[in-house]
Amino acid sequence: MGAGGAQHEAGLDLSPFRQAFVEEACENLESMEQMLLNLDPGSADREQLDAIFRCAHSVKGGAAAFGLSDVAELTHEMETLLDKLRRGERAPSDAVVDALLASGDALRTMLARHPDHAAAPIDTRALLATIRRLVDGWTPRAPVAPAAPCAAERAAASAAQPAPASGDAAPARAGVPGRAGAKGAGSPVSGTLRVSVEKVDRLVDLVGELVVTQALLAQRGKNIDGAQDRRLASGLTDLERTTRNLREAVMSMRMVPMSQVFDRFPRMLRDLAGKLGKKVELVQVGEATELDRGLVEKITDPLTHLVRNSCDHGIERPAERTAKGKPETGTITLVARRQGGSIVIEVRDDGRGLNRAKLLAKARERGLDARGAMSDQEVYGLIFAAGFSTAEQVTEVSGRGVGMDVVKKNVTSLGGTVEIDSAEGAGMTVRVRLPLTLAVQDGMSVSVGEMLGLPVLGRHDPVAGRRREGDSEAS
Amino acid sequence: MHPILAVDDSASVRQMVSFALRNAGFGVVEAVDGQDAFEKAQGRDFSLVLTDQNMPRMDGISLTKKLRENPRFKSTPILILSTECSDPMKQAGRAAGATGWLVKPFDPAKLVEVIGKVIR
Repeated sequence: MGAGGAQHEAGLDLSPFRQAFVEEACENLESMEQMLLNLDPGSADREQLDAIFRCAHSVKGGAAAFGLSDVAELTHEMETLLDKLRRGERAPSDAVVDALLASGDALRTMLARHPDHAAAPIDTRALLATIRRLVDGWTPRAPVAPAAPCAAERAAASAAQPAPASGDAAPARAGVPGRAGAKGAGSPVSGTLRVSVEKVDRLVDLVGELVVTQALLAQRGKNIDGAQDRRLASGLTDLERTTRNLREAVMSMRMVPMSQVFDRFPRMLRDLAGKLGKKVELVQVGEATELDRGLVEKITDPLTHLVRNSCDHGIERPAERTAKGKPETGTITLVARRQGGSIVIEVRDDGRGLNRAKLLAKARERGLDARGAMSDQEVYGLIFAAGFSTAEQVTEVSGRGVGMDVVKKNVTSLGGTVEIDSAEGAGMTVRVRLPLTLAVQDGMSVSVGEMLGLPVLGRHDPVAGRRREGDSEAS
Repeated sequence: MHPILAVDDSASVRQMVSFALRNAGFGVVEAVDGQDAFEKAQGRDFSLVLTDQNMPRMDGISLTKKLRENPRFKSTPILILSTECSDPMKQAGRAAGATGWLVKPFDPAKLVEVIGKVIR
């Protein structure tokens, strides 16, 4: 069967199934990556290795069925290696994990090419050779660098992938919990439904319109004489309640767990720490906290920058840490929690923290308004000023033209705030606070000749003294 | 005619197989793995079983063995559709009582043709 399976087409349009396979395969690869990252090569058990094997095998089976020969070839080699591991004929090692992670990246790139073969084919010869050598029992002295495709290609692949992007056909991850384990657990009916994001967004738009109409009716209804038209008045009350419930129900459909953002960081940090010669452990807290899908997309880049920043500038090299009496391995903690109508996301590290004197000096050098009398908070806030950077050398990691000012700008544009806590020598915490959702916000209607709506979030309290009865009402 | 029992843990492959079979006029019952298929086969007749080999909970060969223990499935054609094509594996399939072994990738039109021949 030729690549792409053109022959399959004889009389039957199989493209929807092929598309479904690509999505299914991407999910399998994601599960596999998570499991590989959680795998401790020293104490891997059969069950873990079986689960990883199963992911590779599923991708291979589908790829073969759909005639994606490049995907089938690579997964076949992975499967051979994983089979040896689970049988105990080969021992898991960092080199093995690296090779399997690199294979996952390569597969994503391959899958992103299908079915239209938009991009050039990728060269997997080195990767295949590495896997075959590992199958034959080769153990590299030093940990091998990821064999073929690197982070850039991976980013390109995920951008081109139909699954997580914001494109038309992107499926909403409704009912995400348990996604990773669902397959292995063998639950035939998952109780979730894949719906296109487009449909959910349409629903949100419609509910938005309904909310406006309902608010308008409620406004008009205030003047109805309750005794005279009791049924209309009670109908309006019911409408208000149902609209509110409907709005909450629809918004909850768009909520996805923070783990969708956090899950990308273990891998990124692993690569980054390796490149910088640092030892970093990532701790996640509250990854099940849910937030609006629209926010997830927009907060990913700023958070990625913060995490990179912590690893690059915050965490010290192992020798420096040991000299300071700190554990050799630095810790970056990602925290997500709900607080009222907001979600709070923190990126904490136990690195060197911010140096007040250095920040002030730098700010003056840059011609910024920096006075010695400023509070710590104000001084830390200086790093959000455009073009401000305390890194003595621009590294490959953080020196990419995206600075803290862009992080702040992005968060502010989402109606959020950023603040920093730091203790010199002990680390730093960046706290991002976001509204839970972007779609519908409670408003305050203000009547100044004509009716205006002001969002309640992020507004300061109205000046009470100027308000007269009937002028302003919460909607 | 009784429906065909199509067993594969990959949803996309299973759906493609069902689509091709239904398109050719066969009734299809889908199962997500060997265990699911075994449960669906209780108290029900199928004109043919088409199963993947490597699946969670119960693989294709074990499913074949278990189905053959049931008099109802004594002569029902059972085809194993797999990426595995080693001779020992095929022999194990035959020993378990499989009628045939099909290797992925497969052409849906050919699959329908083969199944048509096996059933008739």
